[in-house]
Amino acid sequence: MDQDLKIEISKARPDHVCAIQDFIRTDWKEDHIFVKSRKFFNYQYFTSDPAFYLAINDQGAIVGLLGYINYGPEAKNSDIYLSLWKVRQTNDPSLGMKLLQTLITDLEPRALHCGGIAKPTIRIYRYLGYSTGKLTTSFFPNRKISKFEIAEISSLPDISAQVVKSTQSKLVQFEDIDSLAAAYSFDEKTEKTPYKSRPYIDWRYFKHPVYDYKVYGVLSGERISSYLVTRTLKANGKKSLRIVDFVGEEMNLRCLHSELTNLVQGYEFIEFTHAGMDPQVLREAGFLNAADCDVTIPLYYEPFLKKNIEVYYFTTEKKGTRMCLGDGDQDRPNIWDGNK
Amino acid sequence: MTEDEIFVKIKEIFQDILDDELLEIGLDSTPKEIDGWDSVVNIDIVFAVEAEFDVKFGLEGIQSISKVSDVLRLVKSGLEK
Repeated sequence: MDQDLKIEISKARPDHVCAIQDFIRTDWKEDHIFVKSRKFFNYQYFTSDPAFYLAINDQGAIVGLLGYINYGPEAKNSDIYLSLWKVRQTNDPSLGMKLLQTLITDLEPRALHCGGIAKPTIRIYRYLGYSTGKLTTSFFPNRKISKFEIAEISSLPDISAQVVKSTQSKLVQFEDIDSLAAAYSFDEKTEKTPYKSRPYIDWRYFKHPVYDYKVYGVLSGERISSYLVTRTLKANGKKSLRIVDFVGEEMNLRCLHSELTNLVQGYEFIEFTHAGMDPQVLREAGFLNAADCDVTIPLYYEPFLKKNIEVYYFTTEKKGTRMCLGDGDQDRPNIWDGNK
Repeated sequence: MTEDEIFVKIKEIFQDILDDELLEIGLDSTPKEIDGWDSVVNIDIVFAVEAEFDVKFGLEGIQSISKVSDVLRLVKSGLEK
């Protein structure tokens, strides 16, 4: 008898954890970090309200799931980032879409975003009327290094003429969410979505159970108008620094060249993979667009892959979206050493 | 256009998109029975069928597809409009 004649879609419950892990194990990857570490899986999706929608057949088996991350302070009307979306082949080729529709009906998100989508699926999102694109990888090289081990860089263009020399912007590190919130107003909703709330930033970066993120405010005059988040990556005995997130006004970034030059010491380069950032501002800060240079700027470190990677995304926003590699679960541990 | 003529064209579209000219399908064939008929292929089939017959299925129509006969039904319904 066909077990997929009747499929129900509903929000996951806390007691679904094992069944979801089993589904990921059998239908995705046996040694996926969400299978190997219940602690990390719980952090990612079951910290508060279970962040999953499940498609369950009439035999009680999960045949599809959609995990998400809520950027807002509330369950409803927030920006939602889709992060884990997998359906088994059933008699319903639209099951994935139906999972998404259930989420939209339930949570009424202000906007939906998703990075790391497979290239062939882009036509589905376009059909749904969503905007799609490819993230841009920018990098800020350490010009004191002559031989790169993580990146492949044979030559670097001289960009000194386009760099803004002003040192009026400074980076100020914040150790916890309270000090960041005292300096940066989370009430200020920038023109560019997604809007990232204080609880989200605290959970995502300050309370991450595995990665050590550093949060820097961009101080211009007396005001912190934006902040960025970094993480150190290691490969081939060397280090690179990733800007995993950037929130707030972009303009003051252009005066950060001197600060970024200090920050890059000890690293081969700073990598910043994003969509929606003003390319002129990044150029003035000293960043190069990897696509314009004959370089390899790796994105995968677990395991390390010395290769340029194309990251595609969709968003329901028509304009003004900013996306970074820290959004969703793009910058998450992939290898579990069992000790964390 | 007769139902048989519509079905023949739908079958050709399935064969073309799934890159299998020997593929046999029937009106009762389901995505589980036709290897490769996943969500991405489904959209490709919809695009191709819509273009072939100059019809639009709409999101609701697409989501109602669970057999080849549903594709035929949507084409017929579109042609009648």
